[in-house]
Amino acid sequence: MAILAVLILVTIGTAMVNKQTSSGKPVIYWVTDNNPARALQINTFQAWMKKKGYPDCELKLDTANRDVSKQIIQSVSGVGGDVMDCWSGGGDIMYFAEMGIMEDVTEDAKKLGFDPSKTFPSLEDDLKVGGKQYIFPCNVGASMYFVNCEVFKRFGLETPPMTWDIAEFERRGKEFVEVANKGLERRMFFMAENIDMISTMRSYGNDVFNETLTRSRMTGEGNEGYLKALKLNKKWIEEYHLIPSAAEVQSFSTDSGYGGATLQLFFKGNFAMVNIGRYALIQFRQFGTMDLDAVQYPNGGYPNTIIATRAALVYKGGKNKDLAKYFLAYLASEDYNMNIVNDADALPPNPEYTRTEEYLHPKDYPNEWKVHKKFAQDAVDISIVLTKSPFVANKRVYSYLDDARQAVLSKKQTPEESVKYCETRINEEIDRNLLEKPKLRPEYDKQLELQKKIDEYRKTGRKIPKDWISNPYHKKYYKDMGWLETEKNANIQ
Amino acid sequence: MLSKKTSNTIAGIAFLSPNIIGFLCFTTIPLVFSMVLAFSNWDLTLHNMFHDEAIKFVGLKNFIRLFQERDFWKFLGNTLFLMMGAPFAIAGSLIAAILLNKDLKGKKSGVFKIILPGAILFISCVMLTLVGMGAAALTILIVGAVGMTLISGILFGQTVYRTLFYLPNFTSGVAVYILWKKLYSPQTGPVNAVLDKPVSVVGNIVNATPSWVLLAGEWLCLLIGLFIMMKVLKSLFNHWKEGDIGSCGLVLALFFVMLPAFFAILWAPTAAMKLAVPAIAVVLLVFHLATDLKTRDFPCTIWHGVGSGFMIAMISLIPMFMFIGFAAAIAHLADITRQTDFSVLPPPEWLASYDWAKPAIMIMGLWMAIGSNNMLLYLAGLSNVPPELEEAADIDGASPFQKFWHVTWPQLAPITFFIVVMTVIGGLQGGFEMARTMTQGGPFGSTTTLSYFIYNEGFATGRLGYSSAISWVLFIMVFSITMINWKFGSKYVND
Repeated sequence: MAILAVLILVTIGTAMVNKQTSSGKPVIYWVTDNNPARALQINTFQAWMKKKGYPDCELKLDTANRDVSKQIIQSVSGVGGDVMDCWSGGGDIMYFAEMGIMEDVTEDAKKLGFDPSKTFPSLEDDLKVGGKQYIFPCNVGASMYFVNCEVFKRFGLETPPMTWDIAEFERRGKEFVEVANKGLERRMFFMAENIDMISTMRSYGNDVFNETLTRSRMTGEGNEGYLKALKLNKKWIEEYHLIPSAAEVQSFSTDSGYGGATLQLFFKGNFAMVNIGRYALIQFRQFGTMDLDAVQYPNGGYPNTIIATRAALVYKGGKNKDLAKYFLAYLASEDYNMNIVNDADALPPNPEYTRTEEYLHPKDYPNEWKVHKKFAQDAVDISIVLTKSPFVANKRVYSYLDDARQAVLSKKQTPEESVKYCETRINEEIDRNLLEKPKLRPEYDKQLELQKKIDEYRKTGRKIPKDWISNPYHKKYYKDMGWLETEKNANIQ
Repeated sequence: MLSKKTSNTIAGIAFLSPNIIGFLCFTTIPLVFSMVLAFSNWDLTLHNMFHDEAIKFVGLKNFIRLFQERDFWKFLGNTLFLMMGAPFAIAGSLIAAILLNKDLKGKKSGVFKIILPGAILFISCVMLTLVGMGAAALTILIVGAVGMTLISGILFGQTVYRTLFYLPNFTSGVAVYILWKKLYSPQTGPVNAVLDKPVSVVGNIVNATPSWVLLAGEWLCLLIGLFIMMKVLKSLFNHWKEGDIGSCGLVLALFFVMLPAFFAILWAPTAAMKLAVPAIAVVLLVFHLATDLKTRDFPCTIWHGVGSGFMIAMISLIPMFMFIGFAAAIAHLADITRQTDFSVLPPPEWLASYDWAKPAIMIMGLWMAIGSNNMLLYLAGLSNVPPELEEAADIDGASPFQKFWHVTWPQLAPITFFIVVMTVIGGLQGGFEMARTMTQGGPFGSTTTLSYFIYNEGFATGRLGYSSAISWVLFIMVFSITMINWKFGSKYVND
C-alpha cells in the first residue's frame, strides 16, 4: 500500500514539474530526422511567426518516429505528429495519400504562399496527388556526379565535361581506372561509385511505366532503356571495373554517416565521382577543402536527372492543423530558404534563392563555386521526378527494379530475363491491386482508353495532347522532343 | 468480513493481474485479432480511421493467393535453408557446455593451458606476417582477444569462459550483425584475410590438376554419397525387420534418404552424373524393397519408431549432402579458376554474393547459437547428471566417449528435446533482424525469410490481412512441427 502511495505521489509530482516547464502555448510536433540544423530551423520558425504576426505557438521536434513504418502505424491510429517529414522519391507520398493521412493543403497553400509555383516546377507531380497538394519541400535534391577534380589532376587526366554520352563516359572511365590502378594489387580506384539506373534508362527515351501509368512497359521494340542500363551496369562493373561491385563497396564500407563510406572514399580519391545531391556538401565541408565540380550523368541521347524532395506534410488527424500549415508556409519563406542555402542542405525549396550570391558563391568555400549553379540549373532544366503509378504500390515497383539489377549481377538471370521478370511482376501487382481495390477500376479503364489513343497517335506520328499523359517523364520527354500538341494546335483541332 | 481464503485469492489475483492484463492486451487480443484479420481484406490504404470503407471477410482467399505466390515458396526455402544450421548449432552449444563444465583452473593441466594459447598466438602471428600486417588490424584485434581469453581462463577458471561464451546472447543483435558485416567484408575483412592464402592455394591446386583427375574426384564424391545411402538403406530395412521401426517410419525415412539422389539431378556437375546418381539410388531402393520386404522377424505397429526412422534419415542426410556438395564444389572451383581474370582464386564474397549470403548468415547464426541459452540449459543439465552414474561407468571401464554416449547423452534427452523444439520455432520465425541489418533481404531475395516477408507485405503495401495470413501459415508450420516433435520426440525423453 505504501509503495502504491509513493508511486501515485511521484506521478503527480512528475506531471506538475512537466506542467511548469510547458510554455502553455499550443505545441506543434515535427517528426523529422535528428539533424543539428533543426534547432536553428525551429528558432527561425518562432521568429518568423512573430515577425509575420501569426499565432504564437511552440514547435517541438520528434526525431524518434521518422521511420516510415512508425509514421504509418501512428498516423492510422490517430497519433501522428502534426507535421511529418516524408521522402518523395520512393513513393511514400502516394502511399500516404492513399491512406488518407495527409491534410489537403491546396487552398491554404494559395493563401499562405506555398503553392507549387513557389518551388521547382518539375516537383509539381510530387507535391500533388489527384490534383490536390499535400506537401511542400523542406529541401530539394537533384542528383549529379560530384567530381573530385584533384584526383583527375593527380593522374594527369582531364575532368569530365558537364554533358557527356555513354561512349564518352566509358572511354574516359577506362582511361581513368587503367592509370589509377596501375601497379596495384587490387583495384582501389573507380570512375564512379554507381550509375543511376533510372536516369540511364530514361536517357534512352524510356520509363518504367507507359504514358498513362497503367502498365509497366520495359520490353519490346523501342522500350529497351532498362535493358541497356542493366547491360551497361554489368559491363562497367564486371568487365571494365569503372564502378565497384557490391563486394568491393562492402570492402570499403565503414557505414559511417549518410551514404556509408562513399563520401570519405570520394574525398580520398577512391571514387573520382559520386552520384549524390548537393546536401553532400555538408560532409565535404567537414572533410576539408576539395576542388569540386559537378557533371551530369552520361546519357544515351536524352540528358536527365531525378529530382526528389524531403517534404513536410500536415497530419490530417493532428490537433493543430491550422498552425501546422504555417510551418509549410515557413518552408517557402526567405528565412528558411536562406538557412538551407547557408547549410548547403541540398537545394532550397524556392528556386529564387538559388540565384542569390550566398548560394552561388559562399564566401568561405570558393572550392565549391563551380558546383552550385549547375545543381540549381539542372534541377530546373533536366530534372524529372520518379514515376509513381496510382494503380500499384510504388515501393514494390522500385524494389522489383533493384531485384532485376541484383539478379543480373548475381548471374541468376540474363538482362533480358531480368527485365521481362520485372515488367511481369509490376503488371501482376497492378492487376492484383485492381482486383483488391475496385474503386480504382473506372479511372484505370479511362486511362487505358487514353493509352490506346496515345499508342495509335504515336504509330501514325501525330502529336499528343498534353492532358492525355499522366507520366511525368513522358510529359517532359515528349515536350522536349516536340511530340506534344501545342495549345495552338489543340485549338485548331 | 471476507474469509481468509477469499482474501488470499483476491490478493493472489491482484498480484497476478498486471501480468495477466499485460498478457491479454499485448498477446492474446492481438493474436485473436490477427487470426480474424487473416480472413479479411484489411488494407491500410483502404481501411483506417480516415476511410469509412468496411473491412470484408474474404474467406480463404489470402491463403490461396499465398500458396500461389512464387515469393512465398522462395522465402520459405530460404528460411528452411537457414534452419539447416540448427543441428550444428545445437551440437555446438552442447560441446561448449561440456567444455565449460570442466574446471580449467586445475593445476595438473596448467602447462597445457599455457602452451595452447601460446601456440595459437604464434600461429596467428605467422599467418599475419604472411597475409600482411597492415591489412589485418581487425585480425590482430581478434587474435589478441583470443589470446587474452585463454590467459584469463587459465588465471580465473571457467567463470571467465562461461561469461565470454554467453557474451553473444546479451550483446545487442544489431551490434553483432554490424560486426559480422565487417568481418565478412570481402576484400578487407579478417575472414577473407585469413582465407585468402589457403583459397588461392586451393585454386592453384585445382588449376594445376588435370581435368580427368577432377572428374574422377567428382565421381568419387558422388559414389561415397551413394555408398552412405546404401548403408543407411540397409540399416533402415534391418530396423524394420527387427521391429524397431514400423512401416510408416520406414516410408518416411526412405523418402528423406532418397532426397539427395533427386537433388543430385539439380546439383551434379555433368549430365552423366545427373542421370547416374538417381538411377543407382533407385536401383538400390528397388533391390532392398525386393529382398528385405519378404520377411519380418519382429512385427510392430505401423507408427512405431517414426522418430527413430526420422532421426536416422536426418543424420544420414548430412554426409550425403556433404559429398554431393563436394562434387559440385570441385566442378564449381574448376569453373571459377578457369573464368576468373585474377591470377589466384578469390575468397567468397559472402554477403554480396547470391550463393554465399545464406551460408554467411548461417555461420554467424551458428556462432551466436553456440553461446546462447541452449548452452546454459546444457550446462544446467550437465550439472544434474548424477555423478554415481559416471563413477559406475568408470568402474566398468567405459571410455570417455562411451561414458558420454551411454550416460551423459541420455540424461540430457529432456533438455535436448526442449532445445530442439525451441530452435525449430526460433528458426522458422527468425531471420528478420539479420536480413534487415545485413542484407536488406538481398542479393535478389536470397536472404529474405518468412518473417521479413511478413514485414514487407504489411508495410510496403499495407496489406495487413494478407500479412496476417502469412503469419498464421507460419504459425501452422511451427505448430505442426512442434506437434511432430512432441509425438515422436518426447518418447525418447520419457524413455
